[in-house]
Formats: sequence, structure tokens, C-alpha cells
Amino acid sequence: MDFFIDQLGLLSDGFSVALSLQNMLFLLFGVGIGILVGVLPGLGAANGVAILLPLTFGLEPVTAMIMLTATYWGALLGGSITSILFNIPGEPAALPTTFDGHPMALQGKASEAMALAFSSSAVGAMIGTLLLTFAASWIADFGLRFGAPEYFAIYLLAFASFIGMGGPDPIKTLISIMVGLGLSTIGLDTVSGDVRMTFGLLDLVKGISFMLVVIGMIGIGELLITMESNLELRGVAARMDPRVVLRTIISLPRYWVALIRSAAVGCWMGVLPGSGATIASMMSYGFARRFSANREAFGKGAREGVVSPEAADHAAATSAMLPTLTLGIPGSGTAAVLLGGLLMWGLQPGPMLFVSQPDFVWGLVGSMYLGNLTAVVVVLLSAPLFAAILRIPFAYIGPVILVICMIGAFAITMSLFDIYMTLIFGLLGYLFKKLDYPIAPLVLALILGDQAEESFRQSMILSGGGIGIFWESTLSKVLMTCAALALLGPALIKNRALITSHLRNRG
Amino acid sequence: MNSNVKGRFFSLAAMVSVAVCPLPAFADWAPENDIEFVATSKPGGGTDRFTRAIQSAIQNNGLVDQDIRVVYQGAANGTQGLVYIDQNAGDPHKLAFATSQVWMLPLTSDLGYDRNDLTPLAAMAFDEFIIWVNADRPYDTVEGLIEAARKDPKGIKVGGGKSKDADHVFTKLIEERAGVEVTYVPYKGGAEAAVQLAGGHVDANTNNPAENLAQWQAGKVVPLCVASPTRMADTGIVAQEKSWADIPTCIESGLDIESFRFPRTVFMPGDLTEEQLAYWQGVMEKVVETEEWQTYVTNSGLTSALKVGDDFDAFIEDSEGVGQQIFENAGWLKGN
Repeated sequence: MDFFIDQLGLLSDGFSVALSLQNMLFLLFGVGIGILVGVLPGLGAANGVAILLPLTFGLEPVTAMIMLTATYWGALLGGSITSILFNIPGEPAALPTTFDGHPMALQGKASEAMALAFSSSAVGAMIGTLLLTFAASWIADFGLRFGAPEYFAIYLLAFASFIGMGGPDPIKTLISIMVGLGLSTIGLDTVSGDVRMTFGLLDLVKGISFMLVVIGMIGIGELLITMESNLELRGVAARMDPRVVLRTIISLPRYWVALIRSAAVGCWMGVLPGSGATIASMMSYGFARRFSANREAFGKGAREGVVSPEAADHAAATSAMLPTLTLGIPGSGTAAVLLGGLLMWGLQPGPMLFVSQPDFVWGLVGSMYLGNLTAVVVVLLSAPLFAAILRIPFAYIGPVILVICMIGAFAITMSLFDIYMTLIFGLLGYLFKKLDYPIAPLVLALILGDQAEESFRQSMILSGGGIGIFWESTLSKVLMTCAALALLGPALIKNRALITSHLRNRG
Repeated sequence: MNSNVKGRFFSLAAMVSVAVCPLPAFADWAPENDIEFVATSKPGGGTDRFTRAIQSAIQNNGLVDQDIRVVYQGAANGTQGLVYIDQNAGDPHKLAFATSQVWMLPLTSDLGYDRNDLTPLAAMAFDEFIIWVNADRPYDTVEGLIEAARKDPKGIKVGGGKSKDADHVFTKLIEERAGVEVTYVPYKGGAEAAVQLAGGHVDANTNNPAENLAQWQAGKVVPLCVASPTRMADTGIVAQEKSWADIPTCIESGLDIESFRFPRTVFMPGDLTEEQLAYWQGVMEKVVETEEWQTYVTNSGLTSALKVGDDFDAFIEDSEGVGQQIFENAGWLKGN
């Protein structure tokens, strides 16, 4: 009990730091820039924060961190806007939000979808921040228990929980995954240090960024499909109705199971170094679909399909600050940039930071509560602006989206080659949609493929080639079992009637 | 966005002023456009920190009149950024921030740039290599570690960043000098290797001082020796009641490695004029005098050592020679 009271005392000191006029102004500024960065595809939170970092050199460290983290929260929210309205994830982690958020918008429920996304984000962020407030030392140690075999088990679980998400045809899903895995092997290989699958094209040495594939296959593919269907962006009557927003927010507790499960997945992925928000939101979408009573509704505008990835995404982003501050191990790409910032100001992250710089740490934690709430309010107020875009005729808005896609593709590495690649992936996306192949498994395989391969090969080096290493620690046993259940469970349940009747006939 | 517009405005203003009153030709050169600092790493790594330290030193002291933008071109171990610099021959507004990878990586694979086409500007500092072990292991000296490796060939696992890069080369060197065999496990970078060591998933790593500092402070890892001719500078207590200077050199600890260091380097595109090169050399000479630079060097456990011109060229040749020899022994040279 004393522990909680102590923490609350420190937190209230933190609020008094965060609530100064100067800090609040920078917080608002950060949120605004963040939303803008989030809305542009390709320009993710990590880049946004990195671009802003030099502007903060003259500020107090705590003010600078408050502004930069606010940019992070804003970017994540902005990413959902384009996911829902245009089916283009403005931010990698917002990819699963397109699966159900965009169908909702097409059904004329754009304001509901956005209100759902934003409010469940807030819940996720609050849970992540609470975790940061109370569990700092314990959780940070937990992250250390993950070696290569445990990581591989996590990736396997992510794949297993995701398989079958592309719809009724498992063969098509498998083909899509294989294409993704193939693409992920292109470029310089970490384990051997050799260049693979580039066919002598030097532009391929750096590999294929999954954002290119997302922008091309989902963004441009969608544009092509829309063009075919009479040049109409299939979103109508997208007004932000305050009553709808309010009603949606009030209805949120109905999804408490999905919210808590997703926040738990998010916190877990956030605390683990190197996994981060994107994997969290993907996994949480997979789980939501798996455990849902009406699985059929997923992909067609299921509310849980919006709630789950958004809550997980924000829980991961906030809890990623935990290992960053306590161990100096960034839990996500954006956290890595923030860590760089800390070091620039001469603050050494680690367990000592909480002791030597309490004003800084608790001011930051306090600002995370305020920043996330502020970001949600700002994004709700500015969403009508973005929603209004849907009322512009497609003949105008289509080319603009194409330009934004191209800017996004170029911004990733500033290479013209990437723009051509994006166009090619756009055609591929069009083909996939026409032939009814699911795109999401390909993207997942591209994101996780090289990490899964790397951790598998690191495990093989560690064990000298023995496969038993995946069954050594308790942690990897648990994860491997979960993966097997996620993979085989549904098939068993589906065929249970068949199996029991078969057994009965024999018995 | 904003800075771009501003830059364009300034260059426009410069053009107008040149057109209106023809000035006498200047012997010296100064940048005419926005400057691009290409960090050959992902955001957050050691190279990123190096790039930003120089950016803040320049900006806060007004050493360069134009705006500076940092861009990340870190894909494929930073090769992406070097290819980009190679493609921009003759552009004096682009600087790449890197390490020894510039001349090391091309020895093993064909990566799309020729290091002789780039202009070496400066080596700014040396990052030391330290042998670290997990704090729970039974050995806490170099002797103990080597003894353990001798008893159990390939049993000791050494984590490091990337394959066939500095950490891997250093591990090879330890094997060669101590006459033992260990298992090298390549991770994405030093940060990952630090976590894996703290978690006890590997037995040792060869991280730079700053990369393992937080884990040292947390009592999860222990430094054994630094591969440097002299001990590191004493900058006060940094972790566990110890300062950097309390870490013995590898020679003192009985491991015959006099010096293995990693330079933090700056490269520019090829085909620059002498004035342009001299301008940037001058800027870097001023950078190492700034307070920002001193803070950076102290916090990161670096040894500041500016090398430009022939000094730097000679250093590259030496280092390339060492790499060539180790790579040849390991069978890693291109074409093998």
C-alpha cells in the first residue's frame, strides 16, 4: 500500500511539472505536428520525432521530451484517420485499423469508426501509462528474459494467431504469406553479412521496406479499384456528428474484454525490445478475430476490429517508454529516437534515472496522461476537417491521394527507385484484389519475416544446430504451446463434430 | 518543409545580390544551400548520436550559416547512405556520418559504391571496444574468460552487432591472440547485443562503452578490459562506484591486443574543390572545440581525436590492411 501512495505522490509532483503553461503549449504543438505526420503515409512517428529533435536542443529536457512524446501520440492517432477514411495506413501500426475501419466508413459510419478508434486508443494509452507508473522495475526485468529462441516463439505465435485472417481460402493465404517471406529475404542479411536476392540491382541491397508494399498494394491498389468502379470514392455522408461521437464513447465499456486483452498484448509487445506497436496491433487484431463470437463480421466493419488494434497500438507505444527509461533499451523505433534525445541532453537512461532525475521522469510520466487525453480531444476536434475530404469528388481527391502516396514512398529513403517499386506493388495489389488474394498476410510476413528468420538462425548458432533450444526455457515452452494452439485450435474446434461422430461410430 | 523554403529564399537572395553588384571572386568557399547530414544508421544508434552531436555543436554555435537537415539512410548497415553520397559527386552540401564500415564492408561484399570515389573528410573520435561479460557468470577477469573458453571450445557465446563488421572482427582477433575458439552470435546492433548480454542469453559481448553503460549501472554486466594502448580518461564515477579509468587495458589483463578502436568518421561526395574541402575541415576543427562536443565525448566514453587530410588517409590504409588480413584468414574476402 505504501508503495502505491509513494508512487501517487511522485506522480502528483509530475503533474505539477507537466501542467506548467510552457509545457502545455509545447504539448499542444507536439500533438498538432504529430497528427500531421501521422496523416501522411510513409512519414511515421519515428521520422516525425527525429525531424523535430534538433528543434528541441534549446529547450529544457523535460519540455523537449513532453513535446516529442506528444508528437508520438499525435502521429499514432493521425495514422488511424487515413486508415479509416482512405484505406491507407498513415502509420505502420495503423494497418489493421484499415481492415474494419475502412469498411465502416464505406457503410457511412466514418464518424463512429473514428470515435471508436480514438477513444479505444485513449484507453490503451492510459493502461500503458498506468503500467509505466506502477510496474517500472518488475517489467523491465521481464524483457531481459527474451533471447533469440523466445523471440522466434513470439514471431511464430504472431504468424499462428494471424493465419486464416485473409478469408475463406487458406491456400491463397498461404501463397500470400510465402510471397511476403520471399520479399523479406531481399537485401543484406544480418546473420551472414551477405547480400541476397538482389539480382545485381544495387537499389535492392537495402531491402524492400514494408511501407512501400503497404502504400502500393493497399493504397494505390485501392485507388485503381475505385477508378474502375465509376470514379467514386465509396465513402458517403461522412460528417462528424457530435451525437454519434458521444454515443460511441459511451458505448465503449461494452468492448471491455477486447480492450483489456488488446491493452495486455500491447503492453507486452511494448515492453519487449524490438517488437513495438506494429506487431502489437497486428497480433491483437488476430486475437480479436480468433476469440470473437461473430468472426464473420471481421473485415466487413466489425467494431471490435477497430477497437482492438487501436488499444494495443497505444498501449504498446506508451509502455515502450518503460524499458527506454529504466534500462536504456528502446521498446520501439520511436523510443529509440527518444533515447537518442535523452543522451543528447546528458541524461543517462537506466535505473539510476528515476533516482537522480525524479522531476524529469515523473514530469514525463504525468505528461503522458495529459498528452494522450489532449491528443484525443484535438484529433476529435480536427477529424471533421479530414472527414470533409470524403465529400470532395473523387476526380479531385484521387490524384491528391496518389501524390500523397508517392511523397510517402519517397520520404522513406528519398529514392526514386522506391517510387517505381511502389507503382509496381500498386499493380500487384490490384491483381491481388481482383483475384481475391488477401494482402494482409503478405505484409505481416514481410514485417516479421526477416526478424523471425534472424532469431531462428541466432537460436541455431546458440544451440549448435539443435532444434531442442525452442523447448528449453519455460517462457519459450509457453509461447510455443500458445502458437501450436493458435494454429491448430480452430481447425480442431471446426472439425470437433466430425471427429466426435467418427469416434462414436467406431465406439 | 519550413527550412527548405527558407533555404531557397536565402539562395535566391544570394543570387540577386550577386547579379546586382558583382563581387570580387572569393578565394574561400562557403555553403550556398541547405546542408544535408546523412546518418548511415537508423534513428537512435551510435551513429545517429554522433551525427546529432555535430549538428547541435554547429547549430548552437553558429558555425555554418545554412540550415542543416539530418536524414537517415541506414538500410543495409548504412550502405544506403554511402551509395547516396557516391551518387552525388561534386555536391559540397552533403556529409555522411559513419564508422570504419565505409572501407571494411566493401572488402567482403559488392555494395554499390567505391570507397575511393568518396572524399574522406575527417575521423572525429575513437570509440573504444570493451570486453564485457554477464555479471552472473563465474568469471570476472579476462583470464577467467579465456580459461573457460579453452576448456569448452565454441562453448562461450559472444554477441555483437552485425556479421563481418567491427564486433565480429574484434572477436576473431581475440580468438587469434588467445588461441581459443568461441561462438559469435550476430545481432542487429550493439543495443540488441547489450540486452542479450544483460539477460544472460550470451556470455560476453564487445560493445562500445556507451552501448553497455546502462546495463553496467544496473549491475547486469561487468567490463573486463578495454582494447586501447592506455586506460580511458577519468571522467568521474559512471557506474558501480567505478570510472571509465578503472577498466584495465587488455594488455594489462594479459590479452595481447594493444589497440582495437572504431573511428567515428565523416565522408563527403567525390569531386570536391580544395576550397570546399578546406571549409568543412575548418568547421570540424571548430566543432571539436565546442562544449557540446565535449559533453558528447564524455557521456559516450569516446576519445576525441580529430584526423583530417593525409592523417586520415593513412589511418584508413592501416585499418584496411588489418581488416584485409583478418578477413583473409577467416575466408571472408570478396570472391571467396
